[in-house]
Amino acid sequence: MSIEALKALARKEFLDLVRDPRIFIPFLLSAVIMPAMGLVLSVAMQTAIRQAVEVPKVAVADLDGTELSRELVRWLSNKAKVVEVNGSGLEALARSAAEAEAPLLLVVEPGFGRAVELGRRPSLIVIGVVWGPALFPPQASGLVDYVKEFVARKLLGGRISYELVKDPVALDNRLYLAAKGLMLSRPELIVGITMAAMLLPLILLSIAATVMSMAATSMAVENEERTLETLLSLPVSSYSILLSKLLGMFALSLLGTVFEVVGMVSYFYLILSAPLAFQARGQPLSLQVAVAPADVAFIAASLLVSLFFAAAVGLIIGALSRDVRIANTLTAPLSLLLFLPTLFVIFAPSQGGAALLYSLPITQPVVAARDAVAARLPAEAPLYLAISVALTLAMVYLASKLFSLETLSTLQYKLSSLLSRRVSRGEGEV
Amino acid sequence: MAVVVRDLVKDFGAFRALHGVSFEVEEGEVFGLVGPNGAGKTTTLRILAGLLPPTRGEVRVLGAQPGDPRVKRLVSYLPEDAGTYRNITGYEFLEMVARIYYGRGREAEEALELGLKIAGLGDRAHEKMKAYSKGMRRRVQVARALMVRPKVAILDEPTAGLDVLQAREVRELVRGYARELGTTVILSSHNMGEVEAICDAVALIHRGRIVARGPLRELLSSHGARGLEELFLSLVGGVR
Repeated sequence: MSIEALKALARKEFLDLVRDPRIFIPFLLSAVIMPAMGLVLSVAMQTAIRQAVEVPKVAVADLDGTELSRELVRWLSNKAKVVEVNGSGLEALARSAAEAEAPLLLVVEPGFGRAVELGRRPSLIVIGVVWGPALFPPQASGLVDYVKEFVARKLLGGRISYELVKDPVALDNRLYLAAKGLMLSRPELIVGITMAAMLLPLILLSIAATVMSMAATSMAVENEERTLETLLSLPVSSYSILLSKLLGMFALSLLGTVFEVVGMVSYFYLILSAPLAFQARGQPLSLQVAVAPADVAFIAASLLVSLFFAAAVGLIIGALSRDVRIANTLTAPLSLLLFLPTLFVIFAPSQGGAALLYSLPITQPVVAARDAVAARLPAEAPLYLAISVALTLAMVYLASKLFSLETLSTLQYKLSSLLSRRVSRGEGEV
Repeated sequence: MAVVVRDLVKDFGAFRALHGVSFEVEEGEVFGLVGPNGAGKTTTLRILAGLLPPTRGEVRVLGAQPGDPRVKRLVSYLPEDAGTYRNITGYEFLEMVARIYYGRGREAEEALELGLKIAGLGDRAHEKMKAYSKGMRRRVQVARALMVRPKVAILDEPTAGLDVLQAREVRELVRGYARELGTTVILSSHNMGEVEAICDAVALIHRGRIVARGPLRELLSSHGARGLEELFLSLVGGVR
């Protein structure tokens, strides 16, 4: 088999796939729908957070009427838009607040000024106002913080600064990530690292599932359109036909991967940007976590092997399917089976079943990506890569053994009979 | 002899598709394997093309076993109702075949040129094949089979599913280029008229058995038949 023949077949495979607009539908969906979902969620989250920390408009009912309560109203007026309301009873006051379009009502109860003068805790009531069903009810914490600060300053009487009472210890709170040997300057950074460790495996998994599905469809189309028989009659080995298909699909999957990565990263960026925007001053949360160049190289190599493995599995499914419908029927549950070990990888502790997860071509890049971000790759990683390569070659070899017309015809017939029996049994039950 | 088949038996599980089929094809001959659907024509041709292994019997193509890599380069096979790739052009398809056989040299260019001539696509050679009519797609497949100047071309129902004009066009292509290139052609058909029009010799196959074989004219005169259809019906007694 000449390289030229292999290139010619791989080029045919790539062109036939890349010119089919349907191929790009899942990729474009990833690139467009995921950021759109992220945007919707982030807007909702930002709204909720803004309501929690900001006090845009507040209705105040001063039932105390002392100099101190008037001073509180003036103090609040400097912090937020204040509307004073009157009425008899809490419900009447709340109605007045709703009419004034204020989402929060502060009721300064009689005795407020007297309690502060005596150094006691004064009573206040805060009522949230909504005009209908609401996922995120008005948050009172911002308003309460202002009131607490006012009262605290009055109680302290200037003898001790309010800032000192509020934050009496200069605390340097850090977090040590033992698995990676990394000292985090703020504990919140672990959220970013955890998200990154979960994000990467998800991206890798979705790429592998897409490649498998593409390979199965492409091969099933060869059966459906009866082009496989022509290919098998050409002076090329079945192994070369298989390899050229893998190469053609691999080139396309790299292209599709760009769309998927853009979509998923945009999604997570938008989701994470909501809490980031309201982080306290200082170091922001960041997804950029130090990953060693050697680890990146390992993940890249592992990913290549994994994609070849997924494509080989897809080709076997497609080869056994007389048409695309059967291929799709088989691919969906197999993709779910792929998800199971990956979900285990994402949520299991670093040490759990590491040797097995590192040896399987599908789980290896996933567990490696997680560990590279949040922990360390094991010293045996090169050995695991070799095992994964061996398993992948075995899968490609097994697939090439299927590529004889007689074997395929027999297996396709058996599979079709099995599926049609199941369908007719299912229909019978209905 | 270009092709020798002796006592060929093919079983698919418990089903016997061929029961001791024997025939020979001379070099440069256009040979027709004629019979109704399910007679065993496609199975025989797939065995000759090396796509199926025989269960028993002797099969020689150009003196070697079918599927032998040396023979595979010299034998072209056109499957019945062979499809084309929807999203690549006729030109790209024929170019791929030329490169598989000859790499990138002068031979490849000549083969591509011949393929385009046989296919007769004109300007439409650069359109995706999904836009082609059935006749055009079949011409591309015939071109693919003949452009590599095979010693033996095995064509399974080359005109199946085509209208009268398209079928005649393909028949003329096969006959004309087989003569020009000195190719031995083995074709199957259930269209008796078609076989009479282009074949030098025939074998009539029915239920996996050859019921008559020989040069076409000799066969007709020896049985006193006016045409293949009459001959076939007289031999099988109108039984399917």
